[in-house]
Parts: sequence; structure tokens; C-alpha cells
Amino acid sequence: MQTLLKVAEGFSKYPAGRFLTDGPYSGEAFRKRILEPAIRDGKHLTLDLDGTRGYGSSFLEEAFGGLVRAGFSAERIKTFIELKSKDSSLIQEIWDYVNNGGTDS
Amino acid sequence: MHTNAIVDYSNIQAPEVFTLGDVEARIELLKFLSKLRNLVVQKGKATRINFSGTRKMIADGTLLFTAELRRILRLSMARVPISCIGPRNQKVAQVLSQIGVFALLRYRGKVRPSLPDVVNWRFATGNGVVGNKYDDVLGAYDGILAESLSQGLYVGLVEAMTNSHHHAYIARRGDGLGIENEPRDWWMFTQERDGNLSVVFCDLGVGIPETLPRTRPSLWQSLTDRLSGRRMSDGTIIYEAILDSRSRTGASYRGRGLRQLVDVIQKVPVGKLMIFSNGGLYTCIGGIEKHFDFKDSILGTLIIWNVPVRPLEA
Repeated sequence: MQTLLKVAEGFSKYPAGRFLTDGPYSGEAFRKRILEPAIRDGKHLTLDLDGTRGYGSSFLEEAFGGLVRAGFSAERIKTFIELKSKDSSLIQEIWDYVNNGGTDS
Repeated sequence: MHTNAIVDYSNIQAPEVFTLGDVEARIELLKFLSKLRNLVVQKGKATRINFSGTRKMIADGTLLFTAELRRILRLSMARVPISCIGPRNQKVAQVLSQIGVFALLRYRGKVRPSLPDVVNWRFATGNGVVGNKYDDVLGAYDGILAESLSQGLYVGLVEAMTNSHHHAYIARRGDGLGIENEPRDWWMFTQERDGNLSVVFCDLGVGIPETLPRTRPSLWQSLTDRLSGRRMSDGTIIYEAILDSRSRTGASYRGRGLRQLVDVIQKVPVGKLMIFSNGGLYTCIGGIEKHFDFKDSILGTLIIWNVPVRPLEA
């Protein structure tokens, strides 16, 4: 079953920062609350990235590159996570972090 | 707690112009801030700031002053009275009222901001990476700024907050006060004037030139190797740090690190960016990057984005 999550509604309109200690809607918070449970439970998740104020590289790298550092393979991440956005460069940046094996931090 | 006892105030003259953009005015402003820190925090002397000769307040210098004043008030824990003599210039009085300085200094004069380019000053402060603070200063521009520009400004601001939170306060500030473990505060303003929007962000940390050896050790090593031990100026260090963040991006579709601060203004045809950090200044105006150096230091980092209010998509 494919679950759709609009990030602006299901997480925050204001994603920002890298670590939990940075603020409530950091990349680490997004990874631990949304991404890791979905992949661990084998749930297919489509993330609608539009509608937020924006995404800084610190947030994206920790959320997605951090998945690889947490032990999830790039292949497994791509199996369970699908990305949707009007901004194709945003999707490309996220897959870069995954493909680079979480080495861009 | 203040008492009604007669207080012997030390008087300190505020600069004529609050700005970092003019060398002479910058020297006056930084001397004034140093004297204010020294009187209130080091000597614990009741101080009266005399704004009577102040005739112009530019967003950059005004934000630095506001940040310093709030820090000084925090450090003195309200035990040292600070008051002021109001300005003769009515516009300056309106600005000081609008940005909350009069309230901080318990100024009793009645000033109601009404000038169009004064009521458009918006102020926010905080610590940590708090994305929703964007709305406090820029939420009113939804539907006015192009979506790509407002997203760029959001990204620039939250990455500036992230840098400030992670790096700016890693050591004691070089102001001689010897304060340890300061809160990782930041301050920001927006001001709209003559069809241009200025977004100004600052922290009072140790500055990019001081943090680079720790945050980008490999870059620092290659820079020091290149200079064979000669000292590198602050302006050059900021410039090299931005250049490095671009090269690390590889594909040029989206910047990372400091580069994201520059990307904001690439979305508009006539955008300007200035990054003051300690004694250095990096500018990107119309896509042309330059760097400069001053003899004095702002003891922190201050970033200014300047964009037209109704920009066309680049």
C-alpha cells in the first residue's frame, strides 16, 4: 500500500535545521519520525514536498543522507520512498545525498 | 531592580549615522558599541545614550546596535540602568520606537511610528533554528514576492540560523568581556524602502574567519599551505569559504552550505548580498563577487539580502 504524506501538513510547513537540538522540525526529526519507521516497516511512502516554506541543505542532508548513515541501503530507500515536487532540482538533490552514501554532511 | 535614588549616569554619544556600509560611519559605530559594552558590562556604570545627534539609521548598523544592546541588557541582568536622550530627528525617533529600542531603554517620550518606510521595519530574534520566525518578518510578503524568491529567502535565513547555532558560539567572543557559554542568539530585520526589501540577519559569535579552521579543516589546510604561513585577511577567508561551498556542490542546480546564502539573490535580476564577518566583507552584486577588509571587527556575522519587492523571475 502506498501512503501519501504532504510534508507541509504531516510534518511542518517550516522544516529547518539538522539535528533535534537545532529545533523541532529538523532533518533528524523528520528522519526519525517519518522516514525510518516507514522503511523499517516496509511501507511505501510518497512524500509531497511542495507547500513548505523551503528546504535547506542541512535539513535534507540529515534527513536523507542520514538514512544511509543509519544503515539503510540506497536501494532500500528508493524502494520505499517516492518523491513528488514541482521542483525537480529538489528531488535530484535528495537522491544525491542518498547516492553519496551520507558523506555530504 | 531600579530605585528612585539619583543615579550618576555616564553619557555616551550615539553615532550620527548607524551603518556598516561607510568606513568612517562604521568606525564610529563600532567605537560606540565597544564603549557601551565597556561602561555597562565591564564597569557596571549607569549609562545614558544620547541620540540627539543621530540623523540616519540604516538597517545593517541598526541591527548590529539592537543585537548588542539586547546582549548588554542580558549580561547586565537589568542591574545597571541604561537610559537615553531622544533624537531630534523625528524619523530616527520613529525607527527607535518601531524596533523596540525605546521600550528597552524605558524612554518616556511619545513617538508613534507613521512614516511608510518606518512602519515597514520588522524585527525578530531567537535562538536555534526556528523556521516559523520567517513569517514574523516576511509573512506579509506572501503573494508579493515570487515563490522561488520567498523560498530562497527562507532557505537563506534557516541556513544562517543553522550556521549560527552550530558554529558561531563555539568559543568566547573577541570583545574582551570573557563571557563563556552564551546563548546562541540571532537577530533579524526586514525593511522595505523605495521598492527594495532588505533582509538582515546577524549573530554576535566569533565570526566565519574564526570558525572556518574547525568547520572546514581541509579547506583551511589548503589555504594555509597556499599562503605559506602568511596571515589571510577576513574578507579572503569568507570569499574562499563561499567558493568552496560552491565547488562542493558539484552539480550547480542547488547550493549547499554558505552557497545557499548567495543563491537567494540569483533568483532576481538585481539582487545584492553582503556578508560582514569580523573584519571582512563579501559582496555579490549583479552576479559579481568581491571581497574587502576593514581594520576593525564587527565581532560577529551580519548578512544582508537586498531584493526588489516585485521581482521578475530570473
